[in-house]
Amino acid sequence: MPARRLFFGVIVASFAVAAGAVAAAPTRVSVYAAASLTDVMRAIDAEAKAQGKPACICVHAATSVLARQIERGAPADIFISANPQWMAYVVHKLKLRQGPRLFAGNRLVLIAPASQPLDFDFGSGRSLAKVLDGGWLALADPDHVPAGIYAMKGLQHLGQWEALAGRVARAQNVRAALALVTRKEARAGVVYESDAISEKRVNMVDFFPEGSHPEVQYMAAALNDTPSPQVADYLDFLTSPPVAAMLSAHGLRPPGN
Amino acid sequence: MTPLETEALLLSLRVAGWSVLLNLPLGLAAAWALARLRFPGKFLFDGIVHLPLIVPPVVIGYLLLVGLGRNGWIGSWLHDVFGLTLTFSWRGAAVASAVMSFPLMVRAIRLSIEAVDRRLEQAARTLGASPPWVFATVTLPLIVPGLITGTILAFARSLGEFGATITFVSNIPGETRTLPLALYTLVQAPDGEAAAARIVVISVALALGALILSEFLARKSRTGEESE
Repeated sequence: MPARRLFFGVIVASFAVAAGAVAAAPTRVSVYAAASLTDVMRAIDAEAKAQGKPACICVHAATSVLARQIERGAPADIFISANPQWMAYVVHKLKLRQGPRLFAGNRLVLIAPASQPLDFDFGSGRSLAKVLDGGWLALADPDHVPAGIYAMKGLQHLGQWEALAGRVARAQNVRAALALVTRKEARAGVVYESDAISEKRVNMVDFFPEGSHPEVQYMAAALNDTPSPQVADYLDFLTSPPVAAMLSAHGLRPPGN
Repeated sequence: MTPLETEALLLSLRVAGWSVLLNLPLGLAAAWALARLRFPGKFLFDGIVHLPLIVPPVVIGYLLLVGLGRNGWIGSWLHDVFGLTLTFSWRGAAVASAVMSFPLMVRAIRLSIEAVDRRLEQAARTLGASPPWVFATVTLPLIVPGLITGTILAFARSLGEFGATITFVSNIPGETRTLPLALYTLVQAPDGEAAAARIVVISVALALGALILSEFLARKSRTGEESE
């Protein structure tokens, strides 16, 4: 029947157009990066495009979530984790032989809403739980998110963790923890310095003392032992001086500092 | 079962139970309004009732956070007047589940109400019964299957509620970490597969249990009607 032929013709034509569109699309580099790198990756992407490099498909979530997705075959070219352990997990599961590179560092900071300042510092030895006075402390989930793991280790080292049990609000990632403090749902929170300076509605109360938790290290790696020239080039770009300058501007610590 | 699983299971049952208790009177009222009444804006009301069915759960969770959070319009009033905080609390989880399962409850009850033979009600009226009495003694017994179906559907939906819950009340072990949230947490942890599989088994067993119970109750109410 002519109507049926026309219908099938339209279906086939639309597939052809779609296939053509996909084939003609410029290649982009797929970067799976920790949630805390959302702002700086946007700046890096703009700089990359200015230098004629491919744009990135930047996927941000908790490092743990991304690692599990990559393990199950997510199409990522580059992975940037917020701690070495999750990178080691991915390297092990994907059987990579290339070692990861240090991408950046960061600092852990206690924050409170700007309109409800908190009078506390870690050096005084006072109990944070008492100062919170029943309020909630927002963290990224310490069970699996690096920001939460660092925070828990820091608080345990400072002897504050036990008293805080039951008043810890576990967020899906460090940005969600930041949002809880911004919205004043939580009385205080522990996030990275880079997150704290990106949000005007929260103030930094005090940094975690040096040595109270393992050093925050972001690791970057290509997820293929033989990456395409574009991906290898992008990875080199990520560890180049112009990017290091952008890291500083966003509150992160460039590698080698 | 490990303590984590028991805690998640009991919390799930508590949250789903309270969610259904919240929804039953409200759902009945809404279903009645939609089935029997005619009022301006009925179409809009119908749309709002069904919104949680079609809008992404995270959006509903976010709206709840904006409205019922500590600093939300209604939330700050609740906090100031009743000292009630819904965020980070199982009560908030129950509210989130209630909102998400409301449309299912309303649909089931509304179908039941629409199926009632109006002539039975009219006959009762001619025999001198007042409208509330007619409702209590004639309509209500007839819509029991719809109430049961609605309850079981809402209960099952509440057991599985994730997106709105995690957005509104976060993931607090013992307070808001229901079975779906516990499963989600375990799936993120390295080598959490075994524990996750156990939660899956518990969830499926719970769901099957709810289904069997609903079948049993539905059958009982039907044979109850037939024997009259």
